[in-house]
Amino acid sequence: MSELLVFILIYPLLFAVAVQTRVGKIRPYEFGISGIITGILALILLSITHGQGDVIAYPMGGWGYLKGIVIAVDHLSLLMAGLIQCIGLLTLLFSSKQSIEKPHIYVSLVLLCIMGLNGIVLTADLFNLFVFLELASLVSYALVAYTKEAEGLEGAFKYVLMSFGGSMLILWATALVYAISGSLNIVGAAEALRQAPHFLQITIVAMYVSGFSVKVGLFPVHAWKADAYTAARAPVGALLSGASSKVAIYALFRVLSLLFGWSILSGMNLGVVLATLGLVSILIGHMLAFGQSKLKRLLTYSSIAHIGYILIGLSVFNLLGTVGALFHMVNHGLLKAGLFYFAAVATEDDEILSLKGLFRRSPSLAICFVVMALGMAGVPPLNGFLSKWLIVMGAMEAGFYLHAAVIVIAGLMALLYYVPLVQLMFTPSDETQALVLERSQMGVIQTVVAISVVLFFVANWVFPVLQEAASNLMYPDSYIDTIFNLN
Amino acid sequence: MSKHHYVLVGVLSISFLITVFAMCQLPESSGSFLGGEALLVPQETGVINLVAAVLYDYRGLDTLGETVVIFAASLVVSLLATNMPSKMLHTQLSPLVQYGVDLTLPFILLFGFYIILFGHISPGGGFTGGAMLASGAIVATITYSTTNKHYTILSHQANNKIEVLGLGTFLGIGLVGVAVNSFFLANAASGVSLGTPGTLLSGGWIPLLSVASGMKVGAGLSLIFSGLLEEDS
Repeated sequence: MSELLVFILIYPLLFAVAVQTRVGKIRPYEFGISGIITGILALILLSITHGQGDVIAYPMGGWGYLKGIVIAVDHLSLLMAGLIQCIGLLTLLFSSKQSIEKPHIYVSLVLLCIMGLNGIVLTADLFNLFVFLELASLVSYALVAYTKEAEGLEGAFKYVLMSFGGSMLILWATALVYAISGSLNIVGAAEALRQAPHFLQITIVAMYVSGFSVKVGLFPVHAWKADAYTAARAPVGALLSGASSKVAIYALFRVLSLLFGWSILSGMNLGVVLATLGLVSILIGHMLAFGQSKLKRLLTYSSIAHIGYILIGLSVFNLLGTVGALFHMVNHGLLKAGLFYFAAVATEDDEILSLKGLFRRSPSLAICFVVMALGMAGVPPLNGFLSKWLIVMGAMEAGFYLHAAVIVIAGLMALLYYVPLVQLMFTPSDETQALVLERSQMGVIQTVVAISVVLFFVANWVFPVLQEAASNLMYPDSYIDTIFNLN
Repeated sequence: MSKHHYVLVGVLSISFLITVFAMCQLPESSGSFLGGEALLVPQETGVINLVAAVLYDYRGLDTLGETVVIFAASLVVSLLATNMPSKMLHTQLSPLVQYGVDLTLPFILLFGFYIILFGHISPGGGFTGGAMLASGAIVATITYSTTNKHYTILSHQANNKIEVLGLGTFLGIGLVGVAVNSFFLANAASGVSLGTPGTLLSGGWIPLLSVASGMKVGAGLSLIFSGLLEEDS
């Protein structure tokens, strides 16, 4: 069944090309949505046949890892791929009722973005990862600039400049890896790289970390994110913040842990450095979110903070933290997407003040917002609480007490900027006309809310899956063996 | 230069120096692609051009990814490019340009086709040849738009079709491998005859893949250029 891997990789391309060639003859949204649904079905089929603890590797063109490109999935990649398809599906479902000009191009671009992200998640090859990273970035720039308004173009331009710098660092690091090992496969390059001079190792790690940090939007290089996500249409913001930035974190940790292994990395104190970057991101993100008058900008700053949580969870190098971080990727991806969708329907011109009296106008929408905001702040019984709690536990276990304390305090900070919004919604206003939503848009938001509540109560079933994924990241032996055995 | 510029230059040069220092430590005898098995390439792939073997056989997925990037780029340009009023009509180009283009254009295009078709025997291939074809199309548009409004060798729709056809061919050849129970983008492994390395009909699927990416790149780049000149109709 490993051909399914190829299908998951190229199905967005097939559907995007079909949408492009049959402009005006087929409905782009319906077509794109059915495309993503086939992708999700393929993923489900793959995870059923996947079995317990297995890694499936597929050599492109029949060449092994030395000469050719290998794509591979383990539980971790499956989890990420699932997240990407789900958010992609929600995004297309939601956008189908927005009036977007040239819908066939929009749908094609969203599909190609999903293709790029799928490629990053599936590939086990460093240069192939760069190619798909570039595809996803290129398409994201266009999606940000889609409105063609000055704001969007400015945001996209900043995004291009920053992201291009990041790409160059990643490419340079890849070139160095190739120069040392003569292999572009992540697994194939590892052995030579672990024996390379220490300074060279540090340089490569630093390049990958700074390159991917730009893509993720970590603290020192986060500035583009606010402009880009704010200027983009809300569903695009949901896709970028929900899926793209998570995939960039995945790529950083997958590449580093396979290339060097945790022991060399902790010898470089990488955990401390990354956790501290995460810590600063949390504080800066939450502080900047205060006093924003635009809802999407507030959400973006909160995204920067939540990326910090995930980073701390992953950099403490233990099972609790990693499970928590992976769970938080899913939770934050879904909730932040939901909040972006909310921003699109509940406000005019993205102004927070226009939320005033929302409860009167659409009670269910207001309640959805309250649930999602509480989930983001990490209040039980919601999924956000569980994942943050695990990250805190992981940080305590690894002795990162300061980081654990900051995560707890940061939850309160988040409440401090979400509570005024809720207050505003329950304040009566002059505008009393009921806010009527398209059924599918409301459905998307309600689905997100339902998932986030359900995830809390079915956590017992979710954790084994997350644990598998986390151990794939921490002990990638089966991944390495499977790829080695291809030749 | 303001203070920020000095800081920026300082940071950049320090990181540059660190990188150079790191690169000085690169091992003398580092590993190389194919691990010294380059002589096996004609046997394994049927082509004598190593670059073509890497592009269309060993690492075909990367090439597919790059063609998709060009596909995406032409979509993006047709979306974002603003209608620039081109005032080429009735401008007087020097006769040297007019006649020079008249004379060289067929050769530019011919050379482009040659580079694509002979990509597996001599340096070249789909990307380079496609770029040459596109540059021929661009030269023609610039020169002949002085007498015909928005002259293009191929219409927008035709370019679109060629682009999609190229992409489709690439994917189709890739799927042949899956269909015969081999691997995606498999060449020799899919059972196709490799022929005698060095002849025109050799290399299995490689020449076809080269043609497919040539179509894709040529049409895609022409679309990007014409998208910059006019709004798509």
